[in-house]
Amino acid sequence: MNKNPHLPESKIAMAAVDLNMLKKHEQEHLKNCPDCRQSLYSLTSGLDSVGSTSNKFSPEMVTSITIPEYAGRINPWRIFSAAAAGAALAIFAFIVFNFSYIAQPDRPQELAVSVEASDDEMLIEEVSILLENPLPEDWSGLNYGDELIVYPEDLEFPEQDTNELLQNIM
Amino acid sequence: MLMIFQLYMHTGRQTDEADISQSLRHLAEMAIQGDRHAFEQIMMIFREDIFRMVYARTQSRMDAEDLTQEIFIKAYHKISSLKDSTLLKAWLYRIALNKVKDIHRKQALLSMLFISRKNEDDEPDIAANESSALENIQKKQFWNALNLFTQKLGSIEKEVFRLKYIDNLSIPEISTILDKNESTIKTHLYRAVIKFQKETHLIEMAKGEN
Repeated sequence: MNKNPHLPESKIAMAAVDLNMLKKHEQEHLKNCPDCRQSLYSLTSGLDSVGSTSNKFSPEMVTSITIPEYAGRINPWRIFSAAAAGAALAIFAFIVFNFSYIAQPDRPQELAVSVEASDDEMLIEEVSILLENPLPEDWSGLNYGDELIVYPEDLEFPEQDTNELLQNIM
Repeated sequence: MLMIFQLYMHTGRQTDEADISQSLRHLAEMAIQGDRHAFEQIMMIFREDIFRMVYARTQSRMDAEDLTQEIFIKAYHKISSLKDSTLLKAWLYRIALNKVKDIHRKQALLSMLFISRKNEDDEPDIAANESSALENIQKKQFWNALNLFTQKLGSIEKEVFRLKYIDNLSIPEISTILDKNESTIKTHLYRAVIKFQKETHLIEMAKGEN
């Protein structure tokens, strides 16, 4: 006969969770005491019944689960983020390229040289037009400063007799 | 391979558990490498367990079905991030728990906005005969008693109790799911069991059904 008092409820609860939580002598007592074993059995069967009853009172799943065909392979967010990253990279490259091109120290001189060259070309073109379409001889030498522009009010026509002029025409 | 699991499901734990876990690990590894068929087999194995787990927390069949679908779609998207194939079950349950938390947050927000949602499970079944009507009453009484009990528990105690005794998970699995060490899990479980001992009505009701 076991002379030790029975295990309290707290120890039975402890044994229900894990027998190893009990001390050696408590484990020994549980092994030898039918009342304590009955208390433990009653508690564990109650806990098991709660589990099995909740399973019994749960409905069955009616609908079937369908995984999308390409789920996990094509992710719209990934496509968007890749496109956004690409666009950001392109903008960055554009900015860096332009900045480095403009920031070159020789760049203003180059521009000035090209502007000068185009001015010269225009001047040569004008001169060749003037050579091809010269002014009448009487008007030659009529200029103001360096400009070749001649205004009508500035022109001086040679005096000529009107009758003589008409005879020449006839 | 699926046949091994089907055998396992229908004949209890007669099939060697080492073989089961080995096969499950193999399936998980294949699914991690992108094998859709392997993932579908995993889904077949766990869908009922996950559905029951969600139902026990939402008490709504429609919500449980929608959430189970979402859980597996999320798992399919994220399975490549699973590092250890042995943790597949715990990983699935963790996703499920997070989804359940999300829906509880949404429901709390809706109730704050005074938008009440009608639970379809409260609807009387028109086609129900007398015996199923009685079962419906018993069912409702049981869930009410269980909910009343879990409301007396702290948040971790409640989760640990449900995972252990309703979802039938082991302490190491619960430890992985909740990311807490095993002794912490045992402590919370012990406190919950102490409180459970006083729930004579719930215990009698549960035992009466078995």
